[in-house]
Amino acid sequence: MTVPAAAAAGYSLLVLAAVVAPAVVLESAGDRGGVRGAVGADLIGVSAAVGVPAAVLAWRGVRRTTRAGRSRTDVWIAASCGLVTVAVAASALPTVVLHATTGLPVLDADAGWPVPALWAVCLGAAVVAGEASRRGVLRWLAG
Amino acid sequence: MPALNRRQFLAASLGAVGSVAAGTGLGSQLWPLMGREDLVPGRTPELVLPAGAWSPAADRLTFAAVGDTGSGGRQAMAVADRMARGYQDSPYGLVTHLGDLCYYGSVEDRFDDVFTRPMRPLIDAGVAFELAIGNHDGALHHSDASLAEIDAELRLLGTPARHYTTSHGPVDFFYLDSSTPGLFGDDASVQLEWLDDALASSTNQWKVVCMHHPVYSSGAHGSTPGADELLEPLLADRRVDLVLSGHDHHYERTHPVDGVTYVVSGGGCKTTPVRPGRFTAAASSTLQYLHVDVVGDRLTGRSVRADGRVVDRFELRAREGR
Repeated sequence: MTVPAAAAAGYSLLVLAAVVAPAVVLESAGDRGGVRGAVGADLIGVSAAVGVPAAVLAWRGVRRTTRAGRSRTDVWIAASCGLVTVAVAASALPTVVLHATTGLPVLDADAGWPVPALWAVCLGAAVVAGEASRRGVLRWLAG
Repeated sequence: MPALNRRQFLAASLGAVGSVAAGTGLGSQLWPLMGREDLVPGRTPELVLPAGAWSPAADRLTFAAVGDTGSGGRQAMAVADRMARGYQDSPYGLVTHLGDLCYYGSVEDRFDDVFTRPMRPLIDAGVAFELAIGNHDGALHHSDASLAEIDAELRLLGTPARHYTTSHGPVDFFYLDSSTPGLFGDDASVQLEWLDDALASSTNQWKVVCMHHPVYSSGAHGSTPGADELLEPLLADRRVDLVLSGHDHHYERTHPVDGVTYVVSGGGCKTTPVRPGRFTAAASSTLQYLHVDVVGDRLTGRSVRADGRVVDRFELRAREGR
């Protein structure tokens, strides 16, 4: 594996970790409190389902722009900005949205799917924000 | 290292500052907040309990004590489920709620989320709930809005007043409104005089005081300022056996202080750290409730974690000199 390919793979793993981390934080808090598997286990699955495509997207984005002859400096500056955005948004968005929607009937946990679906939408939005900021910075650097 | 042009320098600087800020913010603020708060809605416990399965008697009582349950989240549901399972194993007819029934909104709007749904099995079994007002039950400093919130909670739970006494079998319970100014403000004397009279006239075998703010705590909030001077001498003089409180989101039991044992049972839906202090006999940052059996002159308490593990067990003998 070449150095650029390894770097892209490492970057995609960081994106995956950023997306999965919030659910791991919730689950580990539940573990400490004595409710193993009851707080964040399903959300880790949902996060992985969003995070794996996000990681592939990040890997392809970095590889494509590198192969297209863009400055490596530009590529990695933009990738760093994208990673920061996705990391912050993946934690902040679910927190803010869950706090803002407490008690809404539409988030009926007994129905099973609404909460994981909301979690996935928040993470999806975080991934889109991260990718948008990466592309935006890259475009600005090229301008 | 390649030389950076102006835009690259700006973007790299922004990225570096953002990375540091994001790392610091996530590690020290956002992730701890996510772990501490119980924001993910939880499923209603599905147990169906036999109604009225406890046996009322003059010399025995089993009750549960829990505080700070008001999130409606997954951790709150896990504790409520454990309380229902505790009823299955050892039925009780009373829950002393140690305050903070409702977080994240008004109790009028969220009563179903934070109380009816999690406690459904116990409510259906006919278990009575008695509330000690907490600081989130209307915020501090009793504004008109917070008083309305407190009134709403009292009405919804059928609780008679902000401070009141009840009697169950061999135990007299004394519920205080420990918020400011309820117990520690300018008009504290009203409630203290009431408590002194009520304790003096109590002739039952056991005296248990329930209040939200802990007199002694080694947790995030810590011991309530002024409580040791204002309240502790009165509790000791009137030979109170046990003081139950919440507010800090952990479990803690003190060694007897002038004969009084103080318990914090505030792990109803959230956890915060606890570092045992000089007065601590047992402590654990965990989701839990307290299951108490009183038989004659013996009281046995068990702090039961959400997964059923007992994190502390203690036994008290009724104090002499009644």
